[in-house]
Amino acid sequence: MSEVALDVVDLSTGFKQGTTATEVVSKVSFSLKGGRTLALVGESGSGKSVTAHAIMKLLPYPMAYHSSGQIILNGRDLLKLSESKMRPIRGNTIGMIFQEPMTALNPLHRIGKQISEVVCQHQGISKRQAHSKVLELLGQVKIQNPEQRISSYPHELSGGQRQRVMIAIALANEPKILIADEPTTALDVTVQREVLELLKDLQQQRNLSLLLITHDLGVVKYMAHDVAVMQQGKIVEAGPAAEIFDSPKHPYTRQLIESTPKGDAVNGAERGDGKPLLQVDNLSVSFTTKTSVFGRSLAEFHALKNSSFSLRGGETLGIVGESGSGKSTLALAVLRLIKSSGKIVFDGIDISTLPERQLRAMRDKIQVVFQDPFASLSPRMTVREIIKEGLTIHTNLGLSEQERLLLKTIDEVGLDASSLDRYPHEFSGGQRQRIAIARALILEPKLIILDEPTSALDRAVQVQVIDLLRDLQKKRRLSYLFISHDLKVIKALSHNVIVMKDGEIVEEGSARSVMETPRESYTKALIAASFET
Amino acid sequence: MGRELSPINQRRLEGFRRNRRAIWSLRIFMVLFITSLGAEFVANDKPLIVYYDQGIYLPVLKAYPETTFGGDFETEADYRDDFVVELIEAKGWIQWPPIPYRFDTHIHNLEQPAPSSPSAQNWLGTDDQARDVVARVIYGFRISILFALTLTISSCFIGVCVGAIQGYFGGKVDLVGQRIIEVWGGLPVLFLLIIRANIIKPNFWWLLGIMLLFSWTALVDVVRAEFLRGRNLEYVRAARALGVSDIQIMRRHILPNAMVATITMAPFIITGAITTLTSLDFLGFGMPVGSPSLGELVAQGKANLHAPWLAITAFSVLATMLALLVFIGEGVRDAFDPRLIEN
Repeated sequence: MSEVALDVVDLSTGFKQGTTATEVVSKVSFSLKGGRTLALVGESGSGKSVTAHAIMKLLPYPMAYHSSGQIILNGRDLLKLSESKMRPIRGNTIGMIFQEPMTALNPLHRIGKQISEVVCQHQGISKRQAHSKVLELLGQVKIQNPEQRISSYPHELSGGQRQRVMIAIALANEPKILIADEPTTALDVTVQREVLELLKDLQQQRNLSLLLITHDLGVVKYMAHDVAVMQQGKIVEAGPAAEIFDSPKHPYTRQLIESTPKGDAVNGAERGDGKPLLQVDNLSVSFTTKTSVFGRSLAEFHALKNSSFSLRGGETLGIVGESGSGKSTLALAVLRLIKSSGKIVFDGIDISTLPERQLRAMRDKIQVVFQDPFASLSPRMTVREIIKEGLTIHTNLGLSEQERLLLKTIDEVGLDASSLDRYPHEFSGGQRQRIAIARALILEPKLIILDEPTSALDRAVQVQVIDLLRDLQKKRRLSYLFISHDLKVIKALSHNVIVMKDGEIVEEGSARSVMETPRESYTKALIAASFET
Repeated sequence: MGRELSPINQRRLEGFRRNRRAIWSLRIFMVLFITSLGAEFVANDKPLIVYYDQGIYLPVLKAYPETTFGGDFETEADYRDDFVVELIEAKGWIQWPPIPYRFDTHIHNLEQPAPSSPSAQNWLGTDDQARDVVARVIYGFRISILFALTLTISSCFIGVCVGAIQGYFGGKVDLVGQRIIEVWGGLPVLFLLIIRANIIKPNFWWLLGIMLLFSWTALVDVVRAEFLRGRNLEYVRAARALGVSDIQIMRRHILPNAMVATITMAPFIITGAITTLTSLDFLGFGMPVGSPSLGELVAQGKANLHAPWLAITAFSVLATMLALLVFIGEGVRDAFDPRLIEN
């Protein structure tokens, strides 16, 4: 059972950009054994995806180059093969599935056509024969009603179904090896689990060798026989999964395994006065999806339906839900950045009807930190300009006083004063998120809305950001409205939790009662999916 | 705070510098443009310096009556008059500019009937009113470029403002704005210009104003699209959450994005403006009669096919000028294209 299916020896990969060349992967060696799963683990930028793409020779040659190494499949070195000899290997011998199933499928073709295309091309059979083959494949990846689904367009399917279609395409020609590049990262937690189960089943049925690329140790634990840990383009530790998880040798592996958000919400004694700071009643948001000729709306999509909740000073309210459940809409509505109906009382003032001018004057009291630290900082402004912007609007302090506050805030979020004159692109994701927090913090807000502040970050960095947020809450008596799909993160920070589904609040209560004794089946499924994989 | 170029702009500048065709076009164009800005010192029917009776006179800058040089009249000295020249040279000397004619100098002592062919005195010959073609080209070049630059800068300014307002506020503002622009774009520009030519005496500013009425729409669409996209960017939302005013958000956060499109398009608006002015002059609806214009030279070339130097000159000057501008424009466009820089 353990003959080697694919052997990667001393593979180095680099990219040329003009006259400068940077090596991103250096001397990576691993072997994928028949019928087993090898997980390539590492954080973003560690070179795992580049390595996977190199195996398929999908890198942008000649800008990409290999300064050393061999990729041996059936005694042949893939790096030496010509493009025309490589083509039958892709798909026939090695299949691949990608992270984002929406962009990996052509939106203009029905999925049946996209699958049969692969079958016809590699097996040289007619379209009619391919049809039954496609149905069989769709059945194997457990898509319900394959006869109906065969003529659907990708946008008519859910994320999980699309990923199943991708798997069907990858497996259409019965490859021996399957490369899965972050196959579940873009999916909701409850769907992730099902897709992984499917992969596991298919592997057993077909004796597949699976090269799994992921940053999620939960997925690794669930799937992998062997693990190789990558850091900065090198494999720092490799071995059987059980061994790696039980006794990690390399400090980086240890850090990866131990970096799950821990701890609890700031406890009672350190909390604020406990008066309600934010009271939201019957908040609804709807978007018009269809209008008549005269501009009257005919159809509406209700992104948020009659939601009510309250948040006390110094506390954190966690909002959990999967993508599309309306949690970000809720954040934007509370910030009054989108139109909504309902009542929002902040600090005793009803802000839902406040005219824009008066609202602007009190915006310093409610601040926001967004999900994507790359998108939320203006790329053309220095860090100093970014953080100072709010200060110049809401206060009329002298330059020296501004500078003092600036230095104090940047220090508080754990950044160096020298970073003030640099541009956002020179910082890592975690550092950028700290800059975004500093921008909110310098105005001394009472409430910070955190919209998935950690989900674009690597685990180890997530933990640091959460620790930072907790410290700040303790020190400044801040209230947080914390939005996340990740229950582990929510648990580490929230006093109370509300669970959202399809724009509605389905469950609410103290963090402990929701986590330990969930009432709704949806909440149960969420909890099972995030704490067990 | 020193305004240093951000890294991305440095990379763009580097990209432009690496484009040799563009950088050379820019150099040549700048030399021609700066020379033409000082046209009075290059081609003029007044001397640069007159030395007369121990005194130095600068006729290009100042008008002197004939009596200064011992003549009879109180009017300004006519330095093309042999009598005046003799008076001066008796007690001093005259330094002429390289081309001793202005764009409107009628040369009386031609050896051939006008239009005369190129000669040592008139390097590109004369036109059918006995005016030196080189002098007319230098002045014509200057007017074309200045007209195009003024028109481009003003239409960019208006276009960016309107596009920004439409894109940023969206909704009804955008809808109404777009419909107005569509109707406006449907107006027959040429008819309006012809009608105008019958009502008012055309001059540089009238022409500029009327052209501006129709050319400001060129940029609205791209700028509007940038702002439509930009207003939903997370950092723009963050700025709104900070309480930044709409005008500041537009200026500080979204405008830099839209400037890429604007700067990329500007050189091509310039070439368009030059072509428009030339064709109006050619048709006779442009600059007032007698002004130096390339379009008028083209018309003369068409009317005087037996004098091919007119048509050839007009063609080469226009072709060179437009080619230089297009090359510069291409260089700018490529420098702003991230894909081309990566390679």
